Amino acid sequence: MKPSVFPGKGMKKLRIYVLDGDEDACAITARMLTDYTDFELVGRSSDPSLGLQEIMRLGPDALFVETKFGSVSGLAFCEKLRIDLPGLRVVYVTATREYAIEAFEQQAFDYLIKPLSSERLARTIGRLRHFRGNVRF
Amino acid sequence: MRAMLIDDEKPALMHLERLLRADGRIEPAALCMSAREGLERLAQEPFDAVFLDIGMPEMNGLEAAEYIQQAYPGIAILFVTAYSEYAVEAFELQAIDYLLKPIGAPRLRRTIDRLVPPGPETSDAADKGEAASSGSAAGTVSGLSDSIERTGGSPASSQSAPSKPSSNLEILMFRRLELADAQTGEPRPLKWRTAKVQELLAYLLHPGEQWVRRDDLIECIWPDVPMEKASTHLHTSVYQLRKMLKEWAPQMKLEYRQESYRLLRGGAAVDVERFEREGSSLLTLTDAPNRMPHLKRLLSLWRGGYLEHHDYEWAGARASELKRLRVQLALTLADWERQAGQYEEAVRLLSSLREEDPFAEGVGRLLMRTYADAGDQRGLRESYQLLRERLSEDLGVEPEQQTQQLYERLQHEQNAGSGRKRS
Repeated sequence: MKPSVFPGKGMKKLRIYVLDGDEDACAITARMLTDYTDFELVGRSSDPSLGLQEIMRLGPDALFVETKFGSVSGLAFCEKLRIDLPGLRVVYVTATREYAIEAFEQQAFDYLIKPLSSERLARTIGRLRHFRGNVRF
Repeated sequence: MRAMLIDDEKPALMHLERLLRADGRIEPAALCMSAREGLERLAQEPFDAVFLDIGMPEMNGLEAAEYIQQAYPGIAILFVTAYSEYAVEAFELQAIDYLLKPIGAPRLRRTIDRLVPPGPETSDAADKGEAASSGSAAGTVSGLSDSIERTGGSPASSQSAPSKPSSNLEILMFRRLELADAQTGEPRPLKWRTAKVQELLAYLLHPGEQWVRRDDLIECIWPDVPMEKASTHLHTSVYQLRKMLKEWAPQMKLEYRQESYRLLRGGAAVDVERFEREGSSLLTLTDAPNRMPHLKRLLSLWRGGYLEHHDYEWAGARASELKRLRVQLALTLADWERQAGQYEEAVRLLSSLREEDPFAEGVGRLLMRTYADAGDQRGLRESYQLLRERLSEDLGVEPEQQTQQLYERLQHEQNAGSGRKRS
């Protein structure tokens, strides 16, 4: 089964995974995402190596991820992930503006600054809905 | 695919044009030297993408992008800039890419790859069952106009938002700018990205819900910054302010029209405005019922001078006005208290006023009167002497004649009175 296939406007839920080294932040993002009934939170983790395994197994459509887990770079993490999951949409959720340019280089889908506002998140969600069929744009 | 290139520097325009022509997938159909020129062309003919410089005089790239995004939501926006600090804003503006100058051909190629998706023959696209939709480039970028409506209508959705901004908002401008809960008076723990964002909000609140010209804003808030840079700063600050307001004060709306900004408060009250309004009416209607508790409440709004903590130059005139009004109101209250025989309260209030301004003779005179009414000869004498010392030591002047005469008269009455009492 290929989880990333959404032909036309088929109302299959968009599947999201949340990865953030800070457990509270991870929970906040996950909770905010539950507002959207056409999205499915397939998993979340605050441990990058565990997260990596789960993401590879679940093949989500979008990954909400920090730019750093302790000393591990979230961008490097995603760069590797993109090779295996080329259709994965990466949304950075971070307290720092520092990596926004790199995120563009990496074709990240979006870059959100913590504390995450529901307003801003709604825009990301709207765009995810819109581009669900396309690689990115 | 037709692209418009906007940059105020000709060599940069030509460099990008050359690179695009060399690649061949995107046609650089229009080269514009200003955002205004670009917007005019956009109104006349369709484009699929706009390559936008950020640092430009008059209207900068971020402003232009915001406009384009609203007016032509299907157009792909790509920033091409020497500034690295606006990438987060670029994401917010739903830009497709953010290229740092000088642009190299390999980097631009990757941008174009994203803009012009691979055709139906590409296995990856076929795999994803999207070949039909990626046939035309214009078709794929047209999706940029997304709706932000939530589907499913989950009634509980707003409850789990991280902040729960209530409509009971009060704007505090005494001492320092704060947004507070109108019920508890508790200030909200706002995090200002920069001091300028805070000053921008203060400046927009200052005149009431009036339009403020963009140029005036720049002149007051970024007086020493070159125009081009200042307008970029302004844009970024407006952006951040809007974002903050959405989270903390969603009823407030920052509007932009014809080179001017206006901040609508959505009913939120401003402490300073209430102070001015009710203060001046209390001064004219001195026999209003409950005037004393009302005046006390009003005076308790005073947490310090108008935006005193920030020391904004443009706030100075109103700060002095308000200071005068406050002293006048406090003196009025103290005088009412004196007349009502509440000497201790009056003395306490007047002493604190004296501490703030030891040269205020109006305060000194009322203090003497109060001591005299209370029959406190020592207080009367000491308050006069203290005023006299301060004036002569710090300013090298004598008290006004009016003050001296009052003291002599009160002194005389006291002696006569106490003489009577003793006898």
